[in-house]
Amino acid sequence: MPSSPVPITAYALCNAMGMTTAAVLEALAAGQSGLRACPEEFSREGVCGSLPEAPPALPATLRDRDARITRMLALTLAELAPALRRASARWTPERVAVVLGTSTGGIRETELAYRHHATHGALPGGYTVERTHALDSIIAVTRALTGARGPGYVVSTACSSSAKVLGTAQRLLAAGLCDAALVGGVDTLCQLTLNGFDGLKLLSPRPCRPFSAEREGINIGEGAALMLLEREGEGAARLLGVGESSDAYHMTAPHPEGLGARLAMARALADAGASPDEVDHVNAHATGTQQNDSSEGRAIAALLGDTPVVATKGYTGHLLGAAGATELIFAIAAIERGYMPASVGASPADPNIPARVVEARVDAPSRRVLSNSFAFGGSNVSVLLGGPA
Amino acid sequence: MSALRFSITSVAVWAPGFAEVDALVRRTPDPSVSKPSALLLPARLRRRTSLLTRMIAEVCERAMAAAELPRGAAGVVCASAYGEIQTTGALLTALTADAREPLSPVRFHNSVHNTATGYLSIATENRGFNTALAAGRDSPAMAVLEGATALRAGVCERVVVAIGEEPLPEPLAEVGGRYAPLAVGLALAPAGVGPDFVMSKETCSNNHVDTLPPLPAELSGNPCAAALRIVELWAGAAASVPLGGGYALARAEEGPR
Repeated sequence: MPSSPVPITAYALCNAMGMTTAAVLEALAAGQSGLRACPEEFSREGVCGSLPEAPPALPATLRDRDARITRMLALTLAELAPALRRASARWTPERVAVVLGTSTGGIRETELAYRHHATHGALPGGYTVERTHALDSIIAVTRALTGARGPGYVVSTACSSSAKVLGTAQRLLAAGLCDAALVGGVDTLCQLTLNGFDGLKLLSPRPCRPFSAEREGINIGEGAALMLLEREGEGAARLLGVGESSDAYHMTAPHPEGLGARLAMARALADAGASPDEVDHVNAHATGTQQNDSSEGRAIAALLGDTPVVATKGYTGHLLGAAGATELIFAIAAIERGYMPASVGASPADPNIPARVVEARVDAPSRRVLSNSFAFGGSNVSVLLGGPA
Repeated sequence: MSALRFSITSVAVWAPGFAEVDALVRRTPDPSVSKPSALLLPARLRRRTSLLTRMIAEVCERAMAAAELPRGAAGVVCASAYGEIQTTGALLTALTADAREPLSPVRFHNSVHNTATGYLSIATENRGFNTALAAGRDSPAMAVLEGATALRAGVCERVVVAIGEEPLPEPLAEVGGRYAPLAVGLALAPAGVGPDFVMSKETCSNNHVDTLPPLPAELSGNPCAAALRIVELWAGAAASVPLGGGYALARAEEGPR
C-alpha cells in the first residue's frame, strides 16, 4: 500500500552559495556556482564548497558543544525558529522528532584535538568525545535550541544520510510516534574527507562538472539543510515516497549498470503509488566522477526514459552527509518556482550517458521531482517530492 | 499511539568472554571467547574489517540463524555511538603526521558509520533495506525504534537490529573512557510471530533492572551497554528494561493486540 503524502511545511539551508536560504535559492535560480578555492586551513590547492562566511559561535549555554558543524546547524535552525515554535505549540514538543543525517559529526574538532595532542601531549581543554566528536551532538543542540522532545537520532550512511532521514521520519509518523519531524543533514569540510577522497583519486582540481564529457571528479562542500515535516499542514511541497536499496556490489564503486540505484527509484515510485511518466524531472546524485555519473545515467534512462535530469553539485560541491537534504530543498524550490535549474558545468554533456541532462535553466512547472542519493557501502535512496495537494 | 509492539524471535550477543546468551545472563564468562569469528564475511572481505564490523557480522549471523532466516532475507539496522572509531583514529593519526598525505582508500571507506551494513549487504547479496544510526547512549533504543517502525511500514518483512560499540582509540579514551567491546543482534518480526515485546515511552511499573545483577564492570561503561539488558529481558531475567532516551522495553502481556 502506498505511503500517505506528508506536507513539508518549512525548510532552510546554508552552503557555499550563501549563508541564508534566500541567498542560496537566488544563486540556484541564477545558475551561479558557489564553489571557491579551498580554505587555507586545509593546506590544499583546489576547489571546495566552503561557506562564504564563518557561522557565529553557539550561545554560552552550549559552549561545550560548539563546533564547526553545530554552528552551521544553529545558523540554519534559526531561520526555522518561527515554524518550529508553531509546530511545537500545535503538536507539543514531545511529538516533534529530530532525525538528522551527518557523516562528519564533529570530526573537524577531533582533527584539531589530535594535532593539539601531538604538540602538547594532551587533548585541548573542553574537548570531549561525547559532546564535541559524537555524531549525535547535532541532535542535542537541535533539542536545546528548539525544545523538541520527540525521538531523536542521527542516520549516518555516508552520502545518503540526509535523504534516508525522510524515510525514517515517514515511518515514525506512520507509526504514530510523532506528529512532526525536523529532518535534514549537516556536514563540514574536514581534512579527513578531503584527504580520503584524494586517496581514492576522485577529487577534481577544478570546479566539478557532473554529467559533462569533461568531468574530472568531485569537489567537497559543506552546509546544512533542514525541513519540517508535519502530519497536517500547508507547505510548498509534499513528501510522496521514499525508496531505499543496497547495491550489494562494492564498498565505493557503484554497480556499473546502476542496479541498486534503479531499485531505489522504483521503490520510491511504488511507495508513492506513482508511475515513471509522472516524474517531471530527476535531481540526480551526479557527483562528477566517471563511474558514478555513468551508472546513474544508465539507471535513470532504464527506468525513466528521457525524463529531464538536473545535476546540482556544480553549485555546492558534494555535501556528503548533507547532500541529500540540500538537493531535496533544490527540488522543492524547483516545484515552488516552476523551473528546472541549470546543471552548472554539465556542458558539453557526455554523449555516452543516456540521460537527458538539463544544461540550461528551463522555465516549466515540475509537479513531481525524484531526488537521488547514493553512498559508500552501496547505500541508495531515492525520494519523490510533489507540490501541495 | 506511543507504544510499539513486535516480536523478537532471537537474540545474539558477543563481547569478550560472552558469545552465548546464557553466559551473559549467568555472568559466567568463557575466557576462550576473545575474537568474533565473523564467518558471515568471506575471508577476502573479513581481513579488511574492524572489530566493530566483525562483531556486527557475528551477531547478525547468529541472530538470523537462530530465527531461521535465510541469509540476506532481512533488513538490517546497525547502531553505534561512535561507529568505526578505531579506523577513524588511525586516519586521524596519519593526518596528524602529514596533513597533505592522501589517506588509504580502504581505511577511508572503512571509516564510515555504515561500513558494517555495506559489508553485510555484499556478503549476503542483500539489495533490501539497511541503515546505520547513532544516538549516543540512546543508540540501543533508537535502533529498536528504527527496526520496529521499518517492519510496521512494510519496508521489510523481517529486520535484524545490530547494536555494537568498539573501544575508543588513544588519545580519545583519555577523555571518553575505557571499556570493553560489545555487540547485540536482535531478529525482529511483526507482532504475533512471538515472543512479543512492547516498547514505550512510559516508565514500566513492576520493573525491572533492579532485579538484575550489575553488568560486568568492563562492559558497563560501554555507551551501548543497555543493549545487553535486552538480551537479559529476552532470556526472561526481567519483565522490562530501560533502553535509554526515556524508552523502556517490556515483555508483552498476553491478549489482544
